[in-house]
Amino acid sequence: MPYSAQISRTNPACILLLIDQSSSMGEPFVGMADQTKAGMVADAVNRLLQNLVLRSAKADGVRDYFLVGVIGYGGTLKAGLGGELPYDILMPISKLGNHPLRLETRKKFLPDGAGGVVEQTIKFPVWFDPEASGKTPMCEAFAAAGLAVKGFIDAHPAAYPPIVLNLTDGMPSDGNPQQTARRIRGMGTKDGNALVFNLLLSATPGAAIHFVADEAKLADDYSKLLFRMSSELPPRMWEAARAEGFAVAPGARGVVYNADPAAVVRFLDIGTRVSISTAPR
Amino acid sequence: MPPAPLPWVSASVPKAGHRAAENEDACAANPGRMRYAVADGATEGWQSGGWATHLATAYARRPPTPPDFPDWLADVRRTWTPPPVAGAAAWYAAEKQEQGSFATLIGVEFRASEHRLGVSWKAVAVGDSCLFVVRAEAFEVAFPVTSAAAFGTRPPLVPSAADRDCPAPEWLAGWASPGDLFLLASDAVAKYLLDRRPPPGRDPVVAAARDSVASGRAERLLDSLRSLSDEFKDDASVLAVLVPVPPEPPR
Repeated sequence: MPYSAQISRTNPACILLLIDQSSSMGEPFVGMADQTKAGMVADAVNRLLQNLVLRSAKADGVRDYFLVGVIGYGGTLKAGLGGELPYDILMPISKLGNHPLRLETRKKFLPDGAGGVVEQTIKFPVWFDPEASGKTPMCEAFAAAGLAVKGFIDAHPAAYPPIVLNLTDGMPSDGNPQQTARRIRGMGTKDGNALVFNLLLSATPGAAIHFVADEAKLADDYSKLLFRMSSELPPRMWEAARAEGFAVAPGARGVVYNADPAAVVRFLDIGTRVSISTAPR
Repeated sequence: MPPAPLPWVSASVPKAGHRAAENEDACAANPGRMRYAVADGATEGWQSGGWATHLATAYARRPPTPPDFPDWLADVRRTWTPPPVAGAAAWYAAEKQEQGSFATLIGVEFRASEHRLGVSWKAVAVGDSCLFVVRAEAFEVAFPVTSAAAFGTRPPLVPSAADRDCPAPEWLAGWASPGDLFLLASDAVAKYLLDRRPPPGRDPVVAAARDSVASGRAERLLDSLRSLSDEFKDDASVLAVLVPVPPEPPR
């Protein structure tokens, strides 16, 4: 059965994030004047990385269950976690766990059980900082992702298929990335084809639209393009989406439109649901 | 006169490609009191193997009853001291420690009876580690999971942290007949057993468990689990207990 490979140190999972760093990402979210899209996405990426480290952490250290890469695309194309594009951008999760850029101290508010909230200080590791400049070279980013995906598949032919998650707030400035995305989805391991998921940050105050199954329901050409670029959710992610309360139809694709900050976090969570093994609730 | 201990044996193998020290399953027995348990530490948890061992051992020392399970668990948590982390603590160590450890639990306790044929038993389960009672060639009991399709990736787990709710345990009791083979199995083996086409009694793992418990040597059961470790894709453990057939009384 495809998409069932168990994640292990010999067969790690590959998670590759493509992050739009164009100048428009420096603008605030619709209806949220205090936070830029770039800042919020960077927080979500850092939270995802933190979660992957915690999932892999054992008393004897962080086990390399994941290889993770970030490709930022804006004024330039850059490897967001270090390394060099395009072949050397996937970092073992142990390296990230042991070497965040810095550990910030942040405040979290929790219910106090009596109707109020209590403030708690937490450590927040940072690997990826927000940037916003230039245009949106999405085609270039997908091309670089394709080379990284191919390198991973050559090295790990039996692993869980690579997952590419693209987060953007606008249209590509360098052409149509559909063919490159299709080429990535055509590559695969013994466990199935590589997965490409796309998220479009909110442009209007309306609700986010999650995991669409029918292109005919989309109004504009760019939404249709992102739909065509996106893979169907494999069974475990489809189930995860349903368990999270999304009304996912059969054939639902890994695509989210008009995403607000909460939708970004849930997209990254559901789009990286792979099983190391029995996981705590 | 105390009852004669039941013959039993246990075997546990780590998932393929892992070292024995990385095995996060645990088996525990208190043969004198006829109590047996298997616990399966969650892979993504912290110190899961140690917590699984603590949990299974606590059951073997004193099993809970339905009304006192919360107190029993509170006591188990109170006596749990995670092994110290070697070297300087990384940022993630503190966070994982705070999240705590997680494990499934299946335990069974037998009670001798005045009746010369058989013993009574009662079992408790949290999660998908299972108890099987093999009678003749069939599963007389599969508990708490009864079909291979019912196994998921997020089973109920017993958390070590006092501020985390524990899922409600499941309870079952019954009467064992002479010749019954009791198998406590971690989820990988349990799923495998429920997925078999041949009658369970003829399955190689069940046959190896029966041979091993009869001979008192775990090697055959261990070999059987090792030979299937690629299929299990997980740590795999079996604790087998045989209810012996009493000798014919002298005429």
